[in-house]
Amino acid sequence: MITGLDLSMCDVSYQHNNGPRFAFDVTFPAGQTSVIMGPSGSGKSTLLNLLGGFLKADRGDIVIGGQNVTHLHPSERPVSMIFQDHNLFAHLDVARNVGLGVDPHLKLDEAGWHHVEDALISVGLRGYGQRMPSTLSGGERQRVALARMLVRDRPVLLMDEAMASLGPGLRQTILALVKQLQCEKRLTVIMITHEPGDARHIADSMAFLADGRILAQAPGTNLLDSPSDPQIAAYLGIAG
Amino acid sequence: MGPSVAGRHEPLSVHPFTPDMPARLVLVALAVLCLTPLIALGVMGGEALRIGSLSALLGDPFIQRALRFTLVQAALSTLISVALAVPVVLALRHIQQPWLLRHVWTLFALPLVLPQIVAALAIAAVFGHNGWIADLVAIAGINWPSIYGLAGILLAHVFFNLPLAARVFDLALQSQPVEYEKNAAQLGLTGWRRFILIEGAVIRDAAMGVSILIFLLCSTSFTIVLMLGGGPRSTTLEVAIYQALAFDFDLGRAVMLVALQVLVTGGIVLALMGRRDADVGTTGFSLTGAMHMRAVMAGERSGAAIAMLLVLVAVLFVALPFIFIVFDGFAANPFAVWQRQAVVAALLTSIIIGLFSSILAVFGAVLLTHRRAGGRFLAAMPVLALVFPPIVLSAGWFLTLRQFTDPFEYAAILVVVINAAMALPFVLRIVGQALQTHAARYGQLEDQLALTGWARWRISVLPALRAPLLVGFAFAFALSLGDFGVIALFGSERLQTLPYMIYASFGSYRTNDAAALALLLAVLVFIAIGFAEWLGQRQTRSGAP
Repeated sequence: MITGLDLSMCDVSYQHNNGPRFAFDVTFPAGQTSVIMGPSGSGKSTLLNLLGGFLKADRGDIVIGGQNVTHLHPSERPVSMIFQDHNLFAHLDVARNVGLGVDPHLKLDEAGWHHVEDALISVGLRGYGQRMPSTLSGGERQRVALARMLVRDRPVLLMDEAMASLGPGLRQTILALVKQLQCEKRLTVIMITHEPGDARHIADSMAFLADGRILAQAPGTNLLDSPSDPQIAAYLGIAG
Repeated sequence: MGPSVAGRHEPLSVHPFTPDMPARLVLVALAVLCLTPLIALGVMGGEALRIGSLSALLGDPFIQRALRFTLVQAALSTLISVALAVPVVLALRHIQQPWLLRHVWTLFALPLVLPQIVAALAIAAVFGHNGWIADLVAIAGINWPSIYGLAGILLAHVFFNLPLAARVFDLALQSQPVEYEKNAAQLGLTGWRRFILIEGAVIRDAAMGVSILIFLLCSTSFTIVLMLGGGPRSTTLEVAIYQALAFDFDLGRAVMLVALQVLVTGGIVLALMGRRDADVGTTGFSLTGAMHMRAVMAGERSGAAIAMLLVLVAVLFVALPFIFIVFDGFAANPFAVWQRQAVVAALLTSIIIGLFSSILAVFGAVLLTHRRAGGRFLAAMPVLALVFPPIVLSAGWFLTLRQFTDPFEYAAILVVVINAAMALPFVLRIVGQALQTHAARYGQLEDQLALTGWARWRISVLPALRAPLLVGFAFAFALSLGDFGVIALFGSERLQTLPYMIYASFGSYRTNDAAALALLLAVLVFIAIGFAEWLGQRQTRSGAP
């Protein structure tokens, strides 16, 4: 049984070439779902990529559950990340795509494949193992990605607009699934979204990014209900 | 709700932890290959290039004429190819039948992989003094002139480059948003005004890039000029280098000519690199690419008849040399020729050299794409390669090795390596782009899942990229099979390839042998390319989206 880990970015700074400089100093609480919002270019994806290890911070430390992961390879971090698209290898069937989470060389024993099928059942895809990704809907593909997250058994889940290409109905069911898995596994979830509805559905706390910085962080959906900053109000389209 | 832009423009495709040592090694090897002969020539040439002899060489009317002819024929070739490509591509847009269009574009892609030596032979036979066209007009009592010299060179260059320019224009036109056409229709734009607004603007933008590319290709053209030039009046720098080394053995002149050649092409490339759209290598060298054509335009009936006529002429012009290769090849009793021991040996030599150099080229391209930075350099590489055409590299290494040993001892290795280097930019385009797209899509996923090293290749890369890898391999193989620029200097009784043998037969007026050998070479090249295309398409059909 994994338990939630908290994530801290201590004075983390990142700049690509001569682009804008990002500076993050923030803690995301353990075992909770934090929703990140903010305008395009504000640094949401950069923040997640730093946590996932896909970008290397120029300065500062990234600490997950007390462990300094700043210099760890993405595969060594206690983190699974789900992207908006291309989470599955198009040339591998569903079971193999999930199986990669068990062993990157795909050398699974019978117990391993059972584990894969169990994960598929947990995300509502019983018997989908032999299907190819091209035959799945967008929602089903994200479910497969979640199944792989399950077999990887990492305590932190990062979602980079993972539902951006899904319709409202599908978003609801995927969000419900994420919420359920989060409760069962005590996951720490950090999710980027542009949809206030997503946040209302799932957020334990929220953070708002602007110009490469955390502008505000507040429990629950306070940022939505009573935006403390005119930038947030403007982003949400609330006069005021 | 668009995806957030932040963090996407970074080179996430290659992870910051990935070592890029192998890529650097490839770059160093390329630099050594290209620069060693230049440095050695500079040292050796010190003697020959004393101020006095330098001015004497520069004042040498032969060198002056070679330089002038190089530039004039390249400019004319470019002008004619590009100017003719515009009406051809516009006419092609009138074609309503997708199957016809598909076949025309397939035909237009063929010259891109046809060995130059075979093309030169075919063009001489079709358009030459004793060729098919001459026979045809003789019925009407017209005396067809000889094409050896500028005319033949231009014909061959247009044969290679008109389809290339047309293809580039077509790709540019296709990349226009469909909304343009819709807007034009909505606004009631027709005829000339519509052309100016829609096709004209796009073609003008694309014309600059493709013109520079064609000019570079033609100014470094060797085989065509050697075969069809027909005398000292029409000699380019490249051919002059070859003649200085192969016949006159005038080292000073060879050094001077190599320096001039690199200055000319290097100057053009430098001027080109300053432009923002330096990526003129986007020329669609794949047959598969040509298959993606679609009929876009709703026809304007008025121009349809003229368009069909234009297309017919263009198609005949491109197709006739191919028809010759098959027709004359089979008329030359080819099976008897192919069974000769020397031919079998040359065939095997060609295949072995081709295999080694294409493996080397694919390997180098794969390693190069693992380079973290330098996307700009990789994009410019096809153009940079034109600064060091095969004859310059082989002449340079020939002269360098001569200082220490018998260069023919190392002929086979040098032919393999130089051919690999020549193919590398093209392979890099085919394989590199696919690898980079794949890495951009799956790189993060691979990193997260600890898919590294061989596991990454076995599970992620090879199954997904079998098609581009095979096409790249086949293209390198075809290029190497058809090479004459390198083997021209290094070939000997001991090391003969098919193109070398074709040139020898052609030079000693054994036209039957030449035709039979040309057929063999063309068949080999098209089998290689066709096989890769077929495998690639089979995978695309059975594979995922």
